[in-house]
Amino acid sequence: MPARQIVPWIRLVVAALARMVLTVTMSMALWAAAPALLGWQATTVVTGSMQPRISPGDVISARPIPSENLQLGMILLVQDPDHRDRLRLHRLIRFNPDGRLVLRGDANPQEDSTPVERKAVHGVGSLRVPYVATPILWIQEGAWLKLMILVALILAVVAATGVDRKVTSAEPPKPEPEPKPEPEATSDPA
Amino acid sequence: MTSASPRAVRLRMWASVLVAIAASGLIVIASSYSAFNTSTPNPSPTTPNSTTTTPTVTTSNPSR
Repeated sequence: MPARQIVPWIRLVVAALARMVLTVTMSMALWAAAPALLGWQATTVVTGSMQPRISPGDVISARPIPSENLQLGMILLVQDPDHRDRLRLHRLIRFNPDGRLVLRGDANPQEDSTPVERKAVHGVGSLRVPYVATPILWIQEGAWLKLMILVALILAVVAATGVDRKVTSAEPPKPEPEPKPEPEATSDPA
Repeated sequence: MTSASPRAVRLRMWASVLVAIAASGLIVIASSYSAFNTSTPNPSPTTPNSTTTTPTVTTSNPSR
C-alpha cells in the first residue's frame, strides 16, 4: 500500500485512540463521583498503608453499613481516632471485648494502636476507581513537574483527537451544481 | 474517505461515549473486585510501610 494511502489511516487510528483515552479518563472521574448519588462516601487514598490492593491516588467509595453487619476482613472507612479531622481506610481484623474494632493496614506489620468505636464507621469500601485522584496528591505534595508533564500529555491527547480532520478536509471538493440559466428578460412593451 | 451526515456523526459520538463509560466501568469493577473481594490481607512486607500516616505503634514509655 503506498504511503499516501497509509497516512490517512494512521491519522484516523491516532485520533480514535486519543478520543477513547480522553473519554475513558473522563468517565473514570464520573465513576468516582456517581456513587455519591446513592449516599456512598467517596474518599481519596493518600497513603500506602493498604498497598498493593489500594494505592495512593485511588478514590474509594464506601457504602453505609449497619454496625451489626460488620464482619472480619472488611475494609472499613472510619473516623481516624488519632486525628479527628481525618478518615482512615483499614481492614477490620479483630473485635475487642469492649466492642471496639481493631483495624490494620494490609501493608502495616502491626495493627492500629487505637481501636475504633463502632459509631465511627462511615462505611465499608465497595468501589475503587484507580489512580483518578493522583493529580490531587501531586498538588498537595507540590510535585509541579509531574503535574506539568500530565498537563502536557493531556494537551497532546486533545490535539491528537483532531489529526483526522486533515484527512476529511483533504478530500476533493464536490463539484458545485451548475447555475441554472436565468430566463431572459423580456422587454415589457409599454 | 467518505463524509458522514451530521446525524451519523452525532450517533457515532454518543455511541463512543457509551462505550467509554462501559469500558471505564469494567476497569472500576475489576479493580474493585481485586481490592475488596477478599478478607485475607496480603502477607506483611518485610519492611514496614513508611508512607502511611497512621501510627501503628505508640510507645507508652517515651524515653527522655
